[in-house]
Amino acid sequence: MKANLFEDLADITNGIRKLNVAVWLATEDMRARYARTALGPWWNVLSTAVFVFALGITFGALFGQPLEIFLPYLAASMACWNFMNGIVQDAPMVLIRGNGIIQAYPLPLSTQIFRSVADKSMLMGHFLLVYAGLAIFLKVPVTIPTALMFIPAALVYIVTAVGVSLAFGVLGARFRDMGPALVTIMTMVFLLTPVFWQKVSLKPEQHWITDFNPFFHLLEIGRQPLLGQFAAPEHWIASIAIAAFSLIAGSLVFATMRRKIYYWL
Amino acid sequence: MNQPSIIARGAAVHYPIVLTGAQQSLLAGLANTMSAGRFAKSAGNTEYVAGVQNVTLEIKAGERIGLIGRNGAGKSTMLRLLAGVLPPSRGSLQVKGTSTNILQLGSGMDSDLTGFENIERMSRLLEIPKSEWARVKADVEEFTELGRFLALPLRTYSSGMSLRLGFAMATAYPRDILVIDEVIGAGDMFFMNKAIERIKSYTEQAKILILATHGYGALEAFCNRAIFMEAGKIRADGDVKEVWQAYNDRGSV
Repeated sequence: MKANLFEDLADITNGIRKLNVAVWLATEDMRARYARTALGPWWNVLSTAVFVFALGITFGALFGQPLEIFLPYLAASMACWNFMNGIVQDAPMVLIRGNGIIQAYPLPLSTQIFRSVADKSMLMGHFLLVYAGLAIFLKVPVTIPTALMFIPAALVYIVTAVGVSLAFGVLGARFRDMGPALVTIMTMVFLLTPVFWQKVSLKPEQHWITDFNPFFHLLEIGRQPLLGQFAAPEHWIASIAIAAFSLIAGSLVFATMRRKIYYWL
Repeated sequence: MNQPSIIARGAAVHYPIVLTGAQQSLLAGLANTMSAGRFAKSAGNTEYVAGVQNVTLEIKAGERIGLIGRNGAGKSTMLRLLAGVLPPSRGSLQVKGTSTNILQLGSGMDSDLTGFENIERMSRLLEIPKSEWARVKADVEEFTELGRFLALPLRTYSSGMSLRLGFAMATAYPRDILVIDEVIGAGDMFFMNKAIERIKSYTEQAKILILATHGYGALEAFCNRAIFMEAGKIRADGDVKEVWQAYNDRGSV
């Protein structure tokens, strides 16, 4: 039994060894998704930019915040949130979508997982390019040391995303309710997480809303560097713990179910 | 030293039938658990279809196996197992060596991409080293004789044409194990003759070939060992002539 689990975990390490295949598949996905469009993946950036701008103007006015502060806050938040949201919402479909390749090539199953994570990471990269332009234009006080902190944050994001996609990828293949259920849940999480509002707006006795929200801690370590700030150590500790838990739990769920997944697709 | 081989010990494939709402949905499953089985009673008992049962066999380098048996005997499931695209649900299966397969027409290809784009795509997914791509492309171009069709999307191809492309790709770069299902029957006589030549030269390099077939001709031309399957089990295994005889005797009863 133990030897078997080891064999199943090897699927994940094989997937890492064949990362080039996964990354290539992700670029193909991007190409196919935006085939014959003029803007390609920039459509995604544009729609987020429009969202940020519209929300920035209305909420900036409602909360009485100056635009040059609120817009970058919102843009940085959305860059990080889009990645997390994309990973969670897409995870249940990852293996189902990869079925054609799974049935035809003796590649590891986890290649499909890395494919999705690579896809979302590239989208985030596109968004960050636009954000850089915005940050320069609005003179966001980003310094090199704070900006560099985005690198470990991105690493934490990717590790967490791999774990989440492993677990929900498997569960989504088995339980087809998973997809719509996660879409529903993520709408709620979006409103509960300080993506477009700020934690300071809460009363101290309401802080549990954010403190027990894993998305909040992850959001902080990603967006603070983009705003020229250092995220508080507690966010880093929480985020690293979330990443570690996600990777371990995801790997275990994936490995114990790996042999059955083929029959669920 | 590292010769390719396939070793199966009691390997079995049981396809679960996940059809009814109760088995399929998470909510019903949860309701079933929380109500201790009073609700959605059928959630616990998934039915299974045995595709392949208790297969124990050893395949060594240089063996060219012909898989025979009636429709539904488990040949295709067996091929998927041996091709490494389906793990056994019970028992163990060890595949040593790299493999390619032609299991379904057009599988692993993208119908929206052109022939050339598919060649590149398959080169990537088959993990053919980049230095070999140009040679593989030229080879496939020559073998398939698809000419300017290679610049058109795959959906414009006939089944014979996509078979030619799939077959050429699977055999363009030497791998240890080649698994072919009956789809190869979609080719015309002209193609079959070329395919025979190609497989012969391919398997000369002490590789393993596994081929499902209904005809004695293909069996005799390609194989030096035959396996006869019935109801998911191996009925006979060994010399091509004897196993074919056993299969025919069975059929006439």
